[in-house]
Amino acid sequence: MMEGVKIWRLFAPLGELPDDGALGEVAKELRERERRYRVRTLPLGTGEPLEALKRFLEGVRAEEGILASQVDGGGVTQRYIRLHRPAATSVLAAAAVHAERSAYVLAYNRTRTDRWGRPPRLTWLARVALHSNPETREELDALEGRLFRRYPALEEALRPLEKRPFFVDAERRGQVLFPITSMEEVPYALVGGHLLPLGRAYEG
Amino acid sequence: MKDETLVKLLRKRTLLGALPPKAIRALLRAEGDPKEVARLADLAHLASL
Repeated sequence: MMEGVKIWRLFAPLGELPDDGALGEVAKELRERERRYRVRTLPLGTGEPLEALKRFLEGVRAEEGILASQVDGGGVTQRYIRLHRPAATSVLAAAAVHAERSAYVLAYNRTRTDRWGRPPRLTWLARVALHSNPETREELDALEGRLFRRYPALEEALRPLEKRPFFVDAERRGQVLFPITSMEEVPYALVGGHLLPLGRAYEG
Repeated sequence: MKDETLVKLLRKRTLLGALPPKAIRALLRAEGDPKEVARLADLAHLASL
């Protein structure tokens, strides 16, 4: 039986992993859920679940920025899909934002593979979950504030926009700045103080 | 960030996604000349029509 997505939010001092108590609770619940399935389970099951979870989160640990990663139970071949039906697989995604402190989001689901038999990507969901909580949003705000201090022209150019994503990083190439959102997208290029939309057709 | 990574991000859910990675790499090699960016955006716009 599939229960839908389970989300955990955990916090830690900057650059550190959440404490063992909080992670232990997550590991315990993951183990309980995974126990119901025989195949395509998370490869966290071997050994001590808490240690396996910590090894996984090491991949999104940092001193600054946003990182995301996923571990899953694998997929099936297209032949399998044709002969049977889409298979179920377990997916655990993590996204972490590191600014004033480190905030981690874990998203778990027992879900179906896509029509090619691949496990779905849940990292986007973990990233979205960073936005839906005031405490994790604070970290995104802090990252964006640092970016605007580095590139005041970017803040100025974004000011007229009513709705816009969080910008947490930017790459400069010559006179052009490519601001990067918390979803790892680049919807604009900043050229000479003007925003050039890249994400949709523009008038010009 | 490596050019390859930036190209990947630039092709994600943008009009530039309609262009081959080679074209976007050419932009980055041109060190982001504003005229080149505008030209590329025009190309991407046309490619999306």
